[in-house]
Amino acid sequence: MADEPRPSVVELAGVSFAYEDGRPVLQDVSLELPAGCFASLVGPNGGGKTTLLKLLLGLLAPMRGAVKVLGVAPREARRRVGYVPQHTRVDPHFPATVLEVVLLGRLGTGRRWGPFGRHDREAALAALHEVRLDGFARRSFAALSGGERQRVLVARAIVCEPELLLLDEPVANLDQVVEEAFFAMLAELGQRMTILLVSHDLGFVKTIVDTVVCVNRRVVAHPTSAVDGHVISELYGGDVRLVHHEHRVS
Amino acid sequence: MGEFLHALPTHAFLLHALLAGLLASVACGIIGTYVVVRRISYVAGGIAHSLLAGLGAARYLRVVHGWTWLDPLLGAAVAALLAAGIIAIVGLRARQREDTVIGAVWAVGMAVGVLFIHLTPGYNEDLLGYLFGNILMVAKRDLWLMGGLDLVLLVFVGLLFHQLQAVCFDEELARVRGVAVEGLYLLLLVLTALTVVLLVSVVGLVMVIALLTLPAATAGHLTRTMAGMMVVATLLCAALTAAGLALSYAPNLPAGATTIALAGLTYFLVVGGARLVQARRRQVGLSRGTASRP
Repeated sequence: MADEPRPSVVELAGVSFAYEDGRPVLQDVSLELPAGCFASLVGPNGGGKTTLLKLLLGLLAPMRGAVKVLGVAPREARRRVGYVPQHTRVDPHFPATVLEVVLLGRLGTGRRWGPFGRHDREAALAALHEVRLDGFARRSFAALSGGERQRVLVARAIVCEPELLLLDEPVANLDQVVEEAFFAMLAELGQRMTILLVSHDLGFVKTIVDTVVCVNRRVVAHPTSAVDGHVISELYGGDVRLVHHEHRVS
Repeated sequence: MGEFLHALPTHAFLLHALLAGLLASVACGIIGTYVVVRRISYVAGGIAHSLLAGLGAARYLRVVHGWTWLDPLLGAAVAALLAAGIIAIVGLRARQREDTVIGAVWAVGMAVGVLFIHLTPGYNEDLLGYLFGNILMVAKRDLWLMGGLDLVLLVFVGLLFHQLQAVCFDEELARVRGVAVEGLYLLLLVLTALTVVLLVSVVGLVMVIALLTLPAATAGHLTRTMAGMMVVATLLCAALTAAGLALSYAPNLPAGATTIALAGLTYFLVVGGARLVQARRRQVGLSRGTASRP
C-alpha cells in the first residue's frame, strides 16, 4: 500500500513582498513543505530568507498571494509554532535567569494575567532537559556562553510544544564544535516536529537536512541530494565555493 | 543628621517629605527598572522636560485668566501624557525617527514652558520648585497621589510582569506569542509620564531622569533579574531620598540635589566595585588555569 501523502505544514501560493523602499524581496513565491521534514532556507544576504520566516510567523503580511501555516493563517498558527530569532536580536546582558527566559515561551499558552503556574515551570524544566541544560535553570542568562544561550533560546521555542520550529541563523556565532552539538540536538527534535532553519553554512546543512529551499527573491525547493554546484551558482548569481565539512551528527 | 532625626517627630513637613521620598521610591524602582532595561532613558528625559510646557501654561491660565482650579501639576500631567503619546506613536510607527522626535518634544516642551513663564506676570517662585524640586513643600494631596500611583504600578506589574519582560527582552518573540506590544509600550510610557510628574516635586524636572535611572542602574549591578532590580532599586531609592533629606537639613542644602549627588556617588562606587570584583575573578581564574596546567 502506498504511503499516505503528509499534510503540508507550510504553504505559500504566489507570495510577493516588498519593503517600504519598494525593493521587491520576494516575488511570486510558491512553496509547500510536508509535515515532519527538516528543511533549510539558504540564499544570499538580502535574498528574502528572514522575510520569509517573518511571513510564516505572521509578523509581516504578503502584498500578494497567500500564506498558510499548519493549514491556517500564520497569526492563528502562532501558538503552535516555536521561533528562535537571530542572536543579534537578543540582548545577551538582559537581567533574567535561564528559567525566566524559557518561561517567556509559554506566553499565550495558559492564563493571560499574573505569574506562571507549576505546569509552566515543569514544561520549562523539561525543555531545558531536552536541550541538555539540566541544572541551568537558576543561572543568569547573561553569564552563559554563546552556545548555551542559543540552547536556552531553543528551549524557549520548544516549551510551547510546537508542531513547527523556525530558526533564523541559529549557529551564526558558534564555533564548529558547538555547532555540531547544536545540530545533533536539532536532529533529535526533528524526530517529533517539522524544522525550518535559515543557515549560511550550506556545506554543513546539506549533511543533516532533507530539503534545501533556495531563496533569492524567488524560491526553489530541492531534495538535499539535488543541491549541486550548478544550483548554488544560480542561487548566488556567480561561482561559490562549497566547502565540504567533515562534521559528524549523531 | 542628628538635627534631622531630632526635628522629624515635631515637624509635620519633614515627616511628609520623608513619606514622599519613600512613596516615590516604589514608583521609581518599578518604572526606573523598565526605563533602564528597555534603554528608554532618553524617552523619559524627553517626557520630563516637556512638563515645563504644562506647568507654564497652567500657571499662565491661573494668573492671567483666573483659572484658579487649574493646578500646575495637572498641566504637567497633561503635557507629559501628550509627550508620551507622541513619542510612543512615532517610536512604534517610524523607529528610525524616534530620537529626532524625542529631541523635538524635549526642546519644544521647554521652549513653550519658557514662553508661558515669560508671559505670566509676577515672580515664578513655585516654578523654581518644579524645576529643582522642593520635597519639603510636598502637600498631603501629593502623598495620596503618589500612594495611588504606587498601587496602580504594583497591580500593573503583578498582572503583566512577564508580558513586559518579553517586550523588554525580545519584542519579536512577544509579538509571536500574542502579546499586545504596542498597547503595552504605550501603557509603559503613560505610567512613566505619571511617575515623572510625581517625582518632579521630589527632585524637580531637571534631575528627575537621574532619580529614575541611577538607582535602577545601580541595582542592575547587584542583582540578576528584573524583579530583583525592582526591589533593590526601590530600597536604594528610599535610602537615597531619606539620606538626601537628612544630610541636607542641617546645612540647609537643596534636598533634591543632595539626593541626586548621593545617587551618582553610589552608582559610581558600585560600578567601580563591580569592575574590581570582575578583575579579581579573572586573576583567580587565570592563576587556577596556570596552576592546573601540567
